[in-house]
Amino acid sequence: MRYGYWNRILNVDLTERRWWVEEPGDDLYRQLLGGRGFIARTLLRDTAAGIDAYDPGNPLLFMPGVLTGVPLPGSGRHTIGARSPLSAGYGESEAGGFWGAELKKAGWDGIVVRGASETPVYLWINEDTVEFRDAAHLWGLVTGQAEEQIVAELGDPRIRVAQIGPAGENLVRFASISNDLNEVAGRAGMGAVMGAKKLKAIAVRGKKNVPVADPEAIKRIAKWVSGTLDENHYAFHNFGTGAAMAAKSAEGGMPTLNYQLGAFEGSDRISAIAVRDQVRVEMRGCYACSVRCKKFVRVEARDTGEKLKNGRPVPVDPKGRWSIELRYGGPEYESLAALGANLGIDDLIAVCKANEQANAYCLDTISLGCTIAWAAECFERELLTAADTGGYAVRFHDPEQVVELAGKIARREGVIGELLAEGALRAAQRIGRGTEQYVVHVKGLEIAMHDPRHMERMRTSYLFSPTGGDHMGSATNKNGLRNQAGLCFFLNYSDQMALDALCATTGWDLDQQELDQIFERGISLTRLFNLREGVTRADDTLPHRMREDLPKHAGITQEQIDALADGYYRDRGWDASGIPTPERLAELGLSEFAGSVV
Amino acid sequence: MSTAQVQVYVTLHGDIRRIRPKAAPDREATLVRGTTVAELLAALPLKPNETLVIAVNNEVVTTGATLHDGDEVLLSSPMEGG
Repeated sequence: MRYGYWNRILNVDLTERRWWVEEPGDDLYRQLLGGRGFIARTLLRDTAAGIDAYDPGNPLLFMPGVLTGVPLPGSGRHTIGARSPLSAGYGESEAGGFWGAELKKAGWDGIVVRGASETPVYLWINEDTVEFRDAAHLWGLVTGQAEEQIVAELGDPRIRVAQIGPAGENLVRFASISNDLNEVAGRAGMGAVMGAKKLKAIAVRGKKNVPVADPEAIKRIAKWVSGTLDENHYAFHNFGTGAAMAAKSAEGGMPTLNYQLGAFEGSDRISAIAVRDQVRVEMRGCYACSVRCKKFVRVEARDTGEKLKNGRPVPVDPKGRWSIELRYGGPEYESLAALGANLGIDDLIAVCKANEQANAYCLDTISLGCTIAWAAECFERELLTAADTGGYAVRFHDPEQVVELAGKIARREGVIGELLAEGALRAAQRIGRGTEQYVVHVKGLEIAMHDPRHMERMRTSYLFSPTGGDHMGSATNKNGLRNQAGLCFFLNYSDQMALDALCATTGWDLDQQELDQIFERGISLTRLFNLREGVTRADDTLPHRMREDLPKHAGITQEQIDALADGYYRDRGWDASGIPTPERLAELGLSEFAGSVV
Repeated sequence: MSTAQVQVYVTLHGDIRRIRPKAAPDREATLVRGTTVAELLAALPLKPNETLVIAVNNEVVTTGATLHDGDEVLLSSPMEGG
């Protein structure tokens, strides 16, 4: 009897319009758990060095973990991975919601999408049945419209849909993949890979329970979460992310005006507390999660007199500019900061509207905000001019412009849309004139809204995350492991509780040492892929901006970066160049990949 | 308020908002003149060894700082998510 997984990975070839079942075997699940372990292994095994992200041979993997779909708070996570069109090599991004759990409940541990369709297509996975369905009528639709049509034509309101928007269709390099309309695998351009395959969506319906070895133990952990919300998850439960922005600004660590400053005086006006007080309608949760940390906002352009369920009036944009649809959720901290503080914008409704547009078009809000911030700074420095942008001047402090640019970029509209759709680094490389100096990225991925000059732990995350400027700590044992397992970081589980959840789910006698090994396999496989694609120790670095001093924090020196790299490589068992040694790979059972780096 | 007292304004952000009375405004606190941040914290129902960001008038301070009349005190959990 297997618990936590089915030993069934769906392989789909869009070129040939055929599918088959891959059975990786029990040993592999115990060695990798899911997520990046399977993704990086597949990329190394099935792609040739130098593969382009848009090549049909670049597989796109949707990989939950063994905990995904288990009735446990935080188990609604899945990872999506491929060779990235934005960062230097390996790409991955995670999302919550219900889609990953639904896939597991349909009897699948993951999907490997291969090839590319000539015409738009979507997949319909109804338990053991897999259909290729025409998506020509969906191509060009924003996510809300596309989901409405898919659910209507398949006739089951409980279907879960993961999809791209116009940004992915137009190969915007930071296009995301959303599921359930409000959950987003935002980073590293996975939506563009899906767009290159002409795959609009994957609709899933499942009715099986994911088998669990010790259901009573899982119930106890779930009860601990729901019974201690105030003690352990107060801010997430009541506000979601972004309730401490004023403190971050006071500490001098709030990304402001393309990371030039560390404090934004409007932080209070765009924080999660302001969201709750002004535009939030409700909080919702992911699969099986009682923390319910997801904000849902709604705004009407004009007062219609309509009341919410709680009797309060529907929030209204006092300037009459926009309505904001509830179904797209609301901004997380990263979006509040990237579309707000880092652009010098304290107009909360504009930030929420830009976030809604990003979710509707499927754009990563971090890369969107950072790419606009790069352009705005370059305009201020007169390195970028209207002659480069078809007459369009990009500015800080312009709330209407960020909303407008989201659409222009997603549609690659005009010279400015085409330029910024490439992401900040490629746009700078195209423009030249020293503009690359103002791109705040690692390995091509714009860094997130935690300044590493202020937050030391972000240095490790940005430097060694296989995707580049990622803030989620996936280069560390704890978070990297949880991604592989399909467990949310926001749940305040101790290492012991996470271990207990894994043992209770799988029935395996795991210990912390074995979990550490599982993480090491995942991070080493991603490292091997990056090395094969030409990423070296020199790419484990921080951008020019991070070398500059902030008012309250010193810039980071090369000596500090070198020391971090030496220590990180040593801890991994990699050599001084950051290459996993043959001995280390043998210890991890990965010798078959030792030859992937020449 | 006597001359031996000072009034400060305390706002709570992040996880520490759990100690804020429901439906109450951010709190005004009347303290004995010379009260330090550490003494203010000691009066709050914090967890043992709870890590906080403490700012007075938008500048981060240590717990030894003395509070003055009209000070705006910001207390926050340091964590920020994604």
